[in-house]
Amino acid sequence: MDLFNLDIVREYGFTLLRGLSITVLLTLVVITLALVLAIPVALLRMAPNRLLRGMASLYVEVMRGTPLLLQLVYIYYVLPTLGINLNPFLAAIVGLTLNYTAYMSEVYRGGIIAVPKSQWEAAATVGMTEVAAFRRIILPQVLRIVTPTLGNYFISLFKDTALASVVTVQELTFVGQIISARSYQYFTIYTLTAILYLSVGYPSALFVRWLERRSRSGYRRAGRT
Amino acid sequence: MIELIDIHKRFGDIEVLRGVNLSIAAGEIVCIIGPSGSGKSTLLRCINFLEQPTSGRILIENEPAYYDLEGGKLRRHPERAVVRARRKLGMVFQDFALFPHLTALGNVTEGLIYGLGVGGAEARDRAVRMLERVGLADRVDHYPDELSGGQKQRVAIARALATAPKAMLFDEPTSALDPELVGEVLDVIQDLSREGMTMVIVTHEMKFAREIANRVVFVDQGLIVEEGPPAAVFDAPRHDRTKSFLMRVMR
Repeated sequence: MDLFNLDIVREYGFTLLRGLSITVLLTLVVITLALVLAIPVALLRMAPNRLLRGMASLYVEVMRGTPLLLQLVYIYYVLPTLGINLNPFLAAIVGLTLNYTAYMSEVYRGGIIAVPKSQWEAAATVGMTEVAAFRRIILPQVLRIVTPTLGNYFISLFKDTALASVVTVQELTFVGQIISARSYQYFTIYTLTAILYLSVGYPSALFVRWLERRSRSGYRRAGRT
Repeated sequence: MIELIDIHKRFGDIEVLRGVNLSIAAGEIVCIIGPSGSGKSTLLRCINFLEQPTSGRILIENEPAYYDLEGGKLRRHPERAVVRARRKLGMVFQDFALFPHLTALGNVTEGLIYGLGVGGAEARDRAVRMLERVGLADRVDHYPDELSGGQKQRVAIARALATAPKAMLFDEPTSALDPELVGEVLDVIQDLSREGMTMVIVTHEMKFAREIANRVVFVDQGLIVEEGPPAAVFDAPRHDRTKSFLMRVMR
């Protein structure tokens, strides 16, 4: 096939792979941060204190009500005028984390509400403080409930990291754009780019499906169904 | 050991408890009966502060528990103090409220380790002994989903007993059970009564209440209507409301 130029693959393959590694790194850093940070945000949204609750809600609604692309542009191009300078990679991490934390906090919130109130009460009657009850009794059940949904967020984050190209992070899509513009080999470069995304994205999707199946089975002794 | 003084509890516009006075001596077994919606569960839940009374006082071992009254206003004690007071009471729920992600053993050790601060090995020993006591030595590693209703409730009793409470509170412990499983749970409670455990039991099992209770308390419309020894309340009720309730449930 003439369209697919193997010389170009040889010439730029390594560069694209480096882009892919940046994409994977970005995904892993952001998902780790968001998985953790979303929990306190969810709790703040349910806090008895109205001010805390209001601030958390405002944050979540701003993140959900504006485009992620704009959020990234804002952090990279607007914040410097306020004296906050972030390098591209850091700007992308901050932007993606803020955005995904907001969405994922809503998932956690739903999960926390789904655990029966009597679980908190039972924990209280065996002498646990609220913090202990949350950590030991509520959270493990919440994690089980939210795993399928958060797994899907993980997959979409992997693809959303492509937006980091607008703030010049040299991730896979950015690299693809640069070298295809330089070499005019759009077909080859972009096809290869898509294959590279898929080579990580598809196994990830299988992993998430496995997690989903596992989280849906009840709590039982090992080896029993 | 437990004293409730003029307890009121309001949920929005509805006053569920309208001035309840109840005192329970150490070693006493009190059964609370009454129609559904009468406030009997709320009353029980006030004792360990799962419900916060709107007004009134709660004394446990002669000390104001959970909160102080300052000029008619309720001031909660700090959480540590609330938790400390609550530890004197074990609670068994209608729907078991076992921790589904933990085995029977884990359900019992969890409170010991993360509530009372007992070490892992000792917690395990104590938990095994408690599960033996309720006849579940062979179910230690089972998860709640793998247990029958009666077994679940017995784990819940073991979980409550393990924290060495001064008194046990039971909130309709057999209401969620299939009829053939009620007996095994009542037997365990019966055993506790022989060991001298102080107990407050909200129940619909009238026959059981008559057998086990030192005192039966009939609650209706947020008030204690009548109380006394089981023979008096069941065989010679003085109030019309008690009579009509007993007529309905004894059929």
